[in-house]
Amino acid sequence: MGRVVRIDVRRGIAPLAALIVLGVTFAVLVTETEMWAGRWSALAGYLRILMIVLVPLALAAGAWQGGRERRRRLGELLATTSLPPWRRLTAAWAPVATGVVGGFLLAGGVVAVPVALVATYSGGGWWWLVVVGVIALGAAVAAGLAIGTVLPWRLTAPVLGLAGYVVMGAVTYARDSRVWLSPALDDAAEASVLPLGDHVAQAAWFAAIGATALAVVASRRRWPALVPAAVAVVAGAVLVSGPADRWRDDAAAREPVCAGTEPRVCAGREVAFVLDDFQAYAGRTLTVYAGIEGIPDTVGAVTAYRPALGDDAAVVSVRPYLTWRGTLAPTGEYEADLETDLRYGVLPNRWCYDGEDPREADAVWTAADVAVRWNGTDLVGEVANVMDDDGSIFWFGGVGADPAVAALAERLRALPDAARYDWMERYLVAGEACDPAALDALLDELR
Amino acid sequence: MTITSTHVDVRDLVVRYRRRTALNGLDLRLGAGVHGLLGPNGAGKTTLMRVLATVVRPASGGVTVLDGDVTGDARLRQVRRRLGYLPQQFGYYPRFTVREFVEYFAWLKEVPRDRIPAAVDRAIERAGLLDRADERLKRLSGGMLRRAGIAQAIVNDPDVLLLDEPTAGLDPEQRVDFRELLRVLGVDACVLVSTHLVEDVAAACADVTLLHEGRAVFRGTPAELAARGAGGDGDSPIERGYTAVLRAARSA
Repeated sequence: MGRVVRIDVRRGIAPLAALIVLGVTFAVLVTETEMWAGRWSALAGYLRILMIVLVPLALAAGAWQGGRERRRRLGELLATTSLPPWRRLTAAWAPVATGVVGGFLLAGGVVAVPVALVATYSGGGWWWLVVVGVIALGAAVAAGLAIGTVLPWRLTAPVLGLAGYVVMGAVTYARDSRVWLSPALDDAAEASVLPLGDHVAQAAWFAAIGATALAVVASRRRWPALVPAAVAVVAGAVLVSGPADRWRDDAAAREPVCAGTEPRVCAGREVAFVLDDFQAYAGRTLTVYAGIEGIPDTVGAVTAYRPALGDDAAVVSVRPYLTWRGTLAPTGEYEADLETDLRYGVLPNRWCYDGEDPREADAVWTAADVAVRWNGTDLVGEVANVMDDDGSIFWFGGVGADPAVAALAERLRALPDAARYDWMERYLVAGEACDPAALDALLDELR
Repeated sequence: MTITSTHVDVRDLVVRYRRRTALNGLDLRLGAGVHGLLGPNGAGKTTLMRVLATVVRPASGGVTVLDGDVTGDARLRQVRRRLGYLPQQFGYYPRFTVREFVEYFAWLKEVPRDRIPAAVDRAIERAGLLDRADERLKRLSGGMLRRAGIAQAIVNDPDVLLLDEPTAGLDPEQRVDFRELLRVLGVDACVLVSTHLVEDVAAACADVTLLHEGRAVFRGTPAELAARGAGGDGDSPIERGYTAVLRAARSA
């Protein structure tokens, strides 16, 4: 069979399928480098996020192959040959699966090279995500092949691809355990692990679906499909019966690794490759707060989770600034600016206020915006991204120079040094407490 | 090659497509040799070919091919291994080369793996396509495609070879070569050739069966068919025999 499969790999739809999957995978990966740069678990997770597009493509490629016999009027001739239909179907499935999986792995392999060059953590069983993704792609080709065989029209492939995308979207973004029936992840869980049993259940679910699809069309009898169908039912039941959130923190990946002083910079082991760059940026930027009592002396560089650095440490999300090589760029998309983030990041949370009084909110925001300009240097960026206590990253606009803020900052800068430092140290206390009244009183001192 | 005295044995064969009866109580026994199958459009030639090729199941009657009952599933695989078939509408994968396409069918017909390369070369050579073996099928003319179809049909050295309109699209020289190939193949195998071209039958076939409305209305040698030509139309004795027999069948 190998020789026949090789012929079909060259002559059939496999090269086109490989090219499309390679192109789509690679295009998304290179436009979202910050999502995977330097981290194996992030790369594997992002490849699984891409399944939302790749699985429908695999379905469509399989359906096109399945309808080939009818389109080429070969059905009658093939029906007279002695080889059992399941072997012929397997030989039709293998080239397309090879193309789709080959394109996927090639794109993943290319971006894996820069990851391998800088990665500081390779544990956590991240490769299971890739293996299960490959099985899911193979199963999607098989399902498409079966559907294309039964419905051998030219429109079957595009319609099936579209329908697959819609169904995948509905399952992937369900807010319950049904999400595990989908090969696509709705979000990458960095430095997290999925229990082995869930990987195995997913692998069994996808493989059994593919085998069932092939068995249904490979034989006029229905019983050969019963065994894989039963496996699919059992695996599916296992997947939907568990909790929706099954990710477990990978303690080894999140273990803090620190370097340097003034400031001391830290990151989870998996993100430790940014420490040198981060040290350089933080050291340069945070001199603006030199001498102020209460400014955190430890700053964590984080991506998607909050490492255990202690309450006194500040954290700054570096994900927007990650380049494909695992270095940090000074600016990120949406006009993000690392210096702005660092300067806000070490001060009390500007967005801590969750009340409904606009005057109180304004006091909290204005005090923070004055404090960040306390020595007269303005900010580069118009937006800032901050990490919430639960590890979520939020983007905020409107931190650019406001005339009223600029005037207050100028008055602060004009104060004698002792008064300025005193104002800032009182701000740090009031800001940490997120006390609008105390912050408004501080602003009143400048009005 | 297995020695079989009667390659095809059809008894009281009835095939229906919904309300239309395509074959109506046909009896036919064929051994080794080249057999011609003649008849007007709708006479049942292609239906008979498809039944013998194990594609269509009869409504009733018995069909034995190479000692295997092809109306059931039990021996179908063994029979198909020894079968060659060129359908009237020959489909193909256009991006495959001739060699790849024939090799694909060698695999489908379960030719032993170590014999495939030689079997493919031999089939392509016998079909007269050796110089185009590495050409993609989409680049071949209609006649050459037909020869590629013949090559896939004979790649397994079949004991029963069913050729439905095999000379369609072949030029006169190719048809002469093809007839010679038929004679060689018919030494050991049963070759059934369905055609509208009575001169092909006259030149290459040992005997001829003429179908009309699903029944055999003539069975004999081409010379015997030609001898029935009194009152028929046509440019050659066998054409006159053909039209005379048909005319008699219609008026019966």
